[in-house]
Amino acid sequence: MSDRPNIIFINTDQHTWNVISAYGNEHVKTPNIDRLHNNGMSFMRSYSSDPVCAPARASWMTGRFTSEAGTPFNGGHLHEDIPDLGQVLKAGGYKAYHCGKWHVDGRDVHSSFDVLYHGQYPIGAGGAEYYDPAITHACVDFLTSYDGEDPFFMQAWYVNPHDICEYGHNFETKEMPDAVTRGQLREDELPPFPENFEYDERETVLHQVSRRIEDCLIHWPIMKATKTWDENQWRTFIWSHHRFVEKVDGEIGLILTAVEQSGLADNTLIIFSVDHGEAFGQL
Amino acid sequence: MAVTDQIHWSFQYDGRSQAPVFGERLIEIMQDTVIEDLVDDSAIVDRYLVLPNYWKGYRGRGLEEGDTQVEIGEVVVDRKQISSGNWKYDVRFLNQTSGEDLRLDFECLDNAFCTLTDSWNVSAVNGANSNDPVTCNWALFDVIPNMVDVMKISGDRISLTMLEDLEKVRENVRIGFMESFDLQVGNEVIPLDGFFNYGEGTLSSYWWLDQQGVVRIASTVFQTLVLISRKTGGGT
Repeated sequence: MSDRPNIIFINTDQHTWNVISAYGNEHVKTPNIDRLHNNGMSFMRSYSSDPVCAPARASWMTGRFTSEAGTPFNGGHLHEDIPDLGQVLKAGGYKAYHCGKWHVDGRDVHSSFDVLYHGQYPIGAGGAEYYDPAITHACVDFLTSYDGEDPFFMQAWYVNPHDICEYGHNFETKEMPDAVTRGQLREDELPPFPENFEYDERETVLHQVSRRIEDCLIHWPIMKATKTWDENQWRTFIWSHHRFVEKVDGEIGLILTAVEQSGLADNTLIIFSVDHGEAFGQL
Repeated sequence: MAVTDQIHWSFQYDGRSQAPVFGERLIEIMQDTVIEDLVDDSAIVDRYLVLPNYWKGYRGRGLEEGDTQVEIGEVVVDRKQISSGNWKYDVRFLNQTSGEDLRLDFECLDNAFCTLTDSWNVSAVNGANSNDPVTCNWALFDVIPNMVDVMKISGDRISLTMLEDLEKVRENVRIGFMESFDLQVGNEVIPLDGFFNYGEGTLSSYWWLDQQGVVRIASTVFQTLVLISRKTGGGT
């Protein structure tokens, strides 16, 4: 066994920072992320460098601001001459493995990492229901069979709770069901309505253009649909996001258990982060 | 009124699909569904085609030109009653999007909740500590039909602990009656009873049963299972 630690980097996608039960959120149960918090250290003043999927991931992989890396938006291509974490770790004697969603535009994941699982088709936005269990299975297979002499870095990049976006898009063309009125959920089961929901009328022109003007936002159809949502519909949307978080928490639990049961725990550093959150209509 | 305008909202995904339109394909499948007369209820094999609810996320950026194969896979739920009286399940989910060929086999008690037999030490391994019966998500194809009267007539919800894919414990899962709905399939009207399934760590899903108690449609967020055949008396 190497005296250098193995490193596992787990991330979830579209996971709002405080939707973790260990942080006091009573409307979600994340026992496995809580295990990491309770046995480790949480950095409460860390922030996404650019809270959009591809930009945030490019920053993770390069340690650069997205303005430097060429990735200030989804579809921005990472500059070829900037090395990424997989390449740096390999040069430093680590085995570097990737599993799951990649979404670092302009960089072929295979050029930087050995890939454990990357989907039958490239994993884009959404599809956790298809991909997340497969990501777990590949990671667990790896962890329970790794017998290399070199230390390894393995990143498990999950898709959920990003499926909340597709859940939301679904209601661009049909009415969001009110589960409370239907008797399927009690109102007290729903997370509270965000206190800062109403927008600040002093917002900048840029904000006004990007958020309020028809068709100025790529996700305008869902934004338009949400304008008719009442408080319970918003709260049902938030409730659904929390269920997706719990889904992926279960996947993370299987990885943590595999680390423990494979005898790797004493020499493995586990890092958990999120590329960006979900705003829930908040400012 | 267009065919797909008549589809219930809980399995209506035309808004996010590509050609062929989701709803049209769903109705086509249901027109082709073959349900054998029940000759032996101790061995039942149901086969579902899996439709993606969204155009993104299942084949890269979506269908390629000329690609009319919308289905992303199939689910086969094969169960037989064995000599002990318990039920032996063999479930296969061939998912062409994830590339996984998931195969599960498990055994359940012969009760309405399809309680997993005690070879699953859920309490010790996974920490489930509720008093709810523990079943597998793939046994819901029988649990919901078994509990129709309880849920539909009394209005009660049932509460379960689910061992999802025999891997992940999901507690406080609730299933209840939603509403009845007449689905027009060609010249035929199929009366369906709808049930919701909500819970911790559980995707909201909607289950639609025909008047014989057969699950015809099961719709989650990303995919919809549509029954294409039911065989009884053994064999696949």
